[in-house]
Amino acid sequence: MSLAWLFDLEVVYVATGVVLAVFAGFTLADRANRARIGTAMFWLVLGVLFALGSHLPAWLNGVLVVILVAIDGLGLVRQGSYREAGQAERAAGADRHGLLLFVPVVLIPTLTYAGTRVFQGPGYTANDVLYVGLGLSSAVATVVALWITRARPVLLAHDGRRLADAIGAVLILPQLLAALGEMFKTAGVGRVIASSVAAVIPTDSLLAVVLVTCASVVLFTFIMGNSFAAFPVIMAGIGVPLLIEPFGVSPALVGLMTLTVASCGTLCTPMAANFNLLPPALLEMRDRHGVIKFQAPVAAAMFAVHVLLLWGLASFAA
Amino acid sequence: MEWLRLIGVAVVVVGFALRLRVTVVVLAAGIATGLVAKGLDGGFGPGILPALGQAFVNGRIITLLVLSLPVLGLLERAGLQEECSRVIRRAGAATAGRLLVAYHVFRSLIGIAGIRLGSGHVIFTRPLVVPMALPAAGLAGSAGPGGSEGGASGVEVSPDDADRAVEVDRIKAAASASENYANFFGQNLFFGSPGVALVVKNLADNGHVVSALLVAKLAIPVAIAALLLAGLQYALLDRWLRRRQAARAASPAEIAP
Repeated sequence: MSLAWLFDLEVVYVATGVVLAVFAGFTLADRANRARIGTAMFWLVLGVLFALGSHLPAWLNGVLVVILVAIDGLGLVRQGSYREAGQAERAAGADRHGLLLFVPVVLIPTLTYAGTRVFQGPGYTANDVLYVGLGLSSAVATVVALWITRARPVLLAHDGRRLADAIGAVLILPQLLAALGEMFKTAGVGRVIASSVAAVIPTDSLLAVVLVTCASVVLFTFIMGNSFAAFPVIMAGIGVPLLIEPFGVSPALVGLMTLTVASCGTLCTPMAANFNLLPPALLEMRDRHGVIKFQAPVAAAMFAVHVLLLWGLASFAA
Repeated sequence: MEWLRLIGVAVVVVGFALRLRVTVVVLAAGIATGLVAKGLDGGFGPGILPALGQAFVNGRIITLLVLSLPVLGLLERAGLQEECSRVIRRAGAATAGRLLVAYHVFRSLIGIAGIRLGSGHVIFTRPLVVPMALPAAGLAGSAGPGGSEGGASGVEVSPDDADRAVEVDRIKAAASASENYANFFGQNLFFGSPGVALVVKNLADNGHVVSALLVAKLAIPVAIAALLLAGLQYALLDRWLRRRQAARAASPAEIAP
């Protein structure tokens, strides 16, 4: 019997919306938060976008997004108090539960992976199984964690809200930037970049073309924040017509190198918010660009490695 | 006139440079881009606001991490970070840098096995990697993720504490980076990965048929170079930490940044 019906993304969207609405409710009651109404509104509107986004008219979704940004723009997303555990309480917990505390943490990736292996084949969409599986695994891990710690379930709301507030409005940035990327695509930003690069490139030197291909995919990824969006534009505009066809370079080599060199751009751009801006918020770092600063030297070195590999392997094979 | 299409890029660059609120900058860039495209060739038929709303809703997958926040928060309350530092203390020879090498290799193996987990920052970096890396660097009590001892509330902090906070920040950055490096440069080692599929599909669209296995094989030198370069950076991190801590032990009052 197929369980494909279970893996409907709508399920996890609604579940996320409900969780966010619960955060909103507890926030409203949090008198330690100086902007409790704004913060509660923020989580509630985001929850509505999650739970009902598939059914609301697109213009209304757009209005809700503008409201989210306005709340953050006014500085009304703030932190409150969450009945935090002190150092002594946490140490006592570690004494009592020991290594058992790792069980729920390990369960999330393990169950997600197991799900993608068991539920595959006709009728299943790999991505849906992955993301619904991630949601279901989190639910199972939550139950197991409650059972291990014997904690009161209401603490889930406090602790979940504590982490959500620590991330704050940065939580919506990856989605907002993905939306901006879509706008760029529709407006033809990639076309402008690829055609102007192709117009000035010296086409008779292999090294020059390799360098320009790598640099332009990195630049475009830096702008888009997403290598998968930049890759096809650069391949169609530069990689295929100026590198593969005139020089007879292996298409697989050009394709793979162009894709992974683009990651050097991802490592350096605040546009890749889920990789570079969300972690500083999630880890409560002081410098919100600390991850990018740390990654920049390795990105530069990896860029050089890609240029040398592509140029070297292409000349070697030719 | 075509260059006007890049107006959104300009808005983002200026907004980031002026350190304006990022969400506002991004929204403004989106609206500006939409207005220009509409003006140039009447694009965005259904309107800019609906396009924005639709794209935002279509991206909900990225933010599903919300579902794992309650359980991770609860486990932190129950002592997960303390347990992490006990494990590290028992392990003895661990340093922050060595731990990150181990995580980098582990994360690359996940990629080779074709296990897709999205980003590991929520499920690995915050609950496990950072709470292990900080005690490995001798920074156990100085605020793991979520630790409130960072002096954020305007409490007077000693120079030593401020000094440790810089180290804690750098280790958190390194832990996030190790996740990104191994994810970006390791995932294409699996021939069934979305990246390899994108390359194969794109080349086919452009009239070149290539095998996914060959594409994945070409990712091997990339993954090795990433491990070597990142490993060097992790080793330098260890050296930086050792020097600062030695300097602090020698003259507790004044430390060069």
